[in-house]
Amino acid sequence: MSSADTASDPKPGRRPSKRAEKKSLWQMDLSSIGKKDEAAADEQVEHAPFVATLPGVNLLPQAVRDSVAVSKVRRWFVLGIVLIALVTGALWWLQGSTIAKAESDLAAATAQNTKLRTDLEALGPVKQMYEQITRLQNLVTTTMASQPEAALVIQSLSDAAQRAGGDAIAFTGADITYTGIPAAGDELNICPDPDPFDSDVTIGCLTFNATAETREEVSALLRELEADPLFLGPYVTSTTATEIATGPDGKKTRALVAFSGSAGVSLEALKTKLTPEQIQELLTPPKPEPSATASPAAGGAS
Amino acid sequence: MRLSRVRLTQLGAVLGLVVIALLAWFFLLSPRLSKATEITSQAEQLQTANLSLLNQYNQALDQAERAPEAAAEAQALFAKMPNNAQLPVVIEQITTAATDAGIPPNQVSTVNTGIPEAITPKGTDPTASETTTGVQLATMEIGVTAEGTRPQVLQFLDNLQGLDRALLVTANNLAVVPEAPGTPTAGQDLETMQVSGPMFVLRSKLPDLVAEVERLIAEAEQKQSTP
Repeated sequence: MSSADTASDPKPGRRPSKRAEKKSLWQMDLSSIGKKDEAAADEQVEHAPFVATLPGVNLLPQAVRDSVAVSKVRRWFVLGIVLIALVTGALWWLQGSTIAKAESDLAAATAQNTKLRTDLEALGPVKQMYEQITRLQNLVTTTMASQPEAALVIQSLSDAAQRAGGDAIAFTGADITYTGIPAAGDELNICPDPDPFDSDVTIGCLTFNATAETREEVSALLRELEADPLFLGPYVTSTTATEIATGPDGKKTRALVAFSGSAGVSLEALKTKLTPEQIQELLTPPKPEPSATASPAAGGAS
Repeated sequence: MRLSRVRLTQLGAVLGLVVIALLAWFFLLSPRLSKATEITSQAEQLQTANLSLLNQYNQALDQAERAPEAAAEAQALFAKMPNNAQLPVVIEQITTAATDAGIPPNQVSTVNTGIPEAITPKGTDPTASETTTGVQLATMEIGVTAEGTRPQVLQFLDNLQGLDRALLVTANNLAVVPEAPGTPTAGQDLETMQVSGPMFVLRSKLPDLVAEVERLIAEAEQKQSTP
């Protein structure tokens, strides 16, 4: 339906729109000016069609109607209770199977736990015996791992002197203290070391007193000791040149250089050599465990 | 504003239903759900504990399998250690080491043996060590001084380290003996060698560790087979 139709067809029972009837002065007939519009004279009010019905009269008092409504509410209330009971019962029943399964699992776990504890208890003395035996064994083997080739060290010192100066170099005393394999993180070389920045690992320190005829022989001995893998950081602390009387009458003299020195005894002197992994382990100190006070979370760092 | 009777009933019914639902939840369903959760949690905790126990059991089983071999190795190692009563044997062995190197017994000038001091590995209860293994270790400081030529004293040092004893050389000192007039040294300088170090000793007689381990394993098997 167009908007024009809507404007021209007024709804039944309604007065036709005055705006639709209104004409401009130019559109109007001159003879009709001042006279009443004929359409307006025919104006009629349309009413809704009449439908015949019985007249309804509620004669029940309000109290009765309230009672009916209250009884309806009561029925809904009972229905609600039944519904709650049903839902509760269903959930209760559903949980029953979960509980039964959990109880079954718990019983199985308890039985397994009891069995394992009994077995462990039975094996306890064997386990304790094994651990104690291995601890004692480790203690002895770890200690004995520091066993040096003591005779070889002295022999090597003697051989170095022989190569450096033949019979001219004579040891008056040699003292070796074996400190054993150092622990990772400890001082690896406690002997005097000419290179303070070196990271050599020693198992003992050698100190010696000897005599030579010249200082060149002393230097040669140092070079020989440096070339020997058994020794680390050979060092001569003092050389003293003197002359001693020789011959039956004591009139002849001979030049003599008395010197003393030290050297570290390297890992090569161990009876049982360390593996490269063990040496690497020694050279890698264990990382210090972070303390709670130093952690940023604890406010140690600002 | 006054509420009508119907409205009051409706309100009461709704409140009643809510109260009944809450009561059902708090007194019936919630405890039931909590019980289920609690039992499930207990079962899970026990299963986790069982895993740890199983791990321990497997470790113990592995140790029990290796125990006879470890006991045999330990027996061989500890057998090298004299107990206090065997000290004279140790002194004899030191003298033999010297004579084998060509050093006469009278030139073994000193043999010092310190008082044995008990040692226990870290993390070991000394009393447990005594009751289970029956092995108590101690170290005894040994100091020996011998005199001879360079080859003799070096051989003596080698012999000492090769003794069937767990002796660790921690220090040795070599010094030239001043030549005394009229001493027959065949043109060779005499030197004094001092050797010192700890020797492992047992504080009691060494038990048969292998037999002891086998007995314990048999006992464990018997306990496991008994329901």
